[in-house]
Order: sequence, then structure tokens, then C-alpha cells
Amino acid sequence: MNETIDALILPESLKSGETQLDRIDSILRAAEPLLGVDRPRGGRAYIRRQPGGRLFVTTDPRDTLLFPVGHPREGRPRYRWTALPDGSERGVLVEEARDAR
Amino acid sequence: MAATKIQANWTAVSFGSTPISRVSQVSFTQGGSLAAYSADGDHFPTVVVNLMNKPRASVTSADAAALMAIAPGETAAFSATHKDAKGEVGGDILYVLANAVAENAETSGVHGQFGSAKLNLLAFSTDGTTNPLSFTRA
Repeated sequence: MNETIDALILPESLKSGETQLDRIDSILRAAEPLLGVDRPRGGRAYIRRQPGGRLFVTTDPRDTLLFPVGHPREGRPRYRWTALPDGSERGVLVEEARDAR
Repeated sequence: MAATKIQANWTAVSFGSTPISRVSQVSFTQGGSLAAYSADGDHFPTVVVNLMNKPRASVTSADAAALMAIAPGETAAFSATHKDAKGEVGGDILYVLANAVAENAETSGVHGQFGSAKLNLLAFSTDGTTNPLSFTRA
């Protein structure tokens, strides 16, 4: 059974195209099907540029990589990551992250 | 018609639950800065590195009442959609600055010209690691 993916980390080198919209689309084409985005129902994948040439992509612009400052799990990952050979990583929210942001 | 892949004009601009209309300018900046290291007999930096980023946004609107009602320190998500130049479907880019803190709003007007107000915002990251500035195709 395929596990639901909650987040992606993609290398910026996966971007392609000449215009800003082309480059955004090249990432969304890869990310939105994996994240289960339903655009007709208002779903979107949000892209954030992270240091080190990485893109953090989720369906909510409020999502974070780590538990927030002040949380009992402050500084620990909110996702369990699986690395793939192409340099991308697929993340699944840890149980404690489903209620915390 | 296909998207022009060129942006012109802004729509759906909001700060939290406050819609902002009559928008004439929006800007988002990644807020990057560089630290330059030098020592001893150096006359030039030997290391230049990006250590800190402070994403910001600003919006200018003729709706001075809406912007001036936002108090410094107020925190919310700021979002704005940069429209396709010809309004074609699939050509809009949506920017969201999460955890945006209102820094200051100011209004001004010159005799014989339309008045406007400008709101400046500075964002924080709740975990110190995740970039609060995100974007997508609207």
C-alpha cells in the first residue's frame, strides 16, 4: 500500500524552463500528484526556497520542517524522510506533528 | 489562450482576514544578506557567506483606511496574487508570506494627486529553519 506523502524536498536543479512560471510549473508537475493536490477543489502545493539549493514543498504555506520554538519537541523534525536516488526526499508527518504547527 | 508567462497587476491581496484593495504595488523580498570575513593583513574579504535571511513584503494601496488600521506588531499571513498580463487562466502566481508582522503603515498624499498608504512587513520562522515565503501557481 502506498503511504501518503505530506512533504517533499526537491533539489533546485530539478527546476526547468525560461520564465518564472515555467520553473514553478516544473516543480508543481512533480510535486502536486505526489502530495495529492486537488486543484479544482482549491488545493495548491507551496514552494519554499531553503538554504543549500533545496525546495520544501507542502500543501499548506504554514508547514514547517521542524517543530516550532516553544513546542515540547522544539527543533526536532516534523517529518520522517525517505531519500531517493535523484536527490529528492519524501516526508511523512510524524504522529505528534499532526496537531502541532 | 495560453498563459503569457508575464505578470501584470495584483489581485487577492490580504493580510490575515483583511482584504486590501486599490493596490498599486506589492513587493516580496527574500531578505538575504551577506557576512564578509577578513582578518590580519587582509584588504579584502576572504570569506563571504549568506548567514541570515529576513523575508519581507510591502504593499501600497489607495485604501489608506485599510492599511492604517493595521497596528505595528500585528501578525498574520500576507498573500498576494500576481496576475497573468492578459488575465489568462493558469498564468497567475500566488505568494504567501507566513507569520508576517506589520512593521509600519504610513500614508501620504501630494496636492493635486491621489493619496496612498504603504504597509511594510517582516516575517519570522516559527522553527528558525523554514522559509516563511512560499509561492505557487494560483
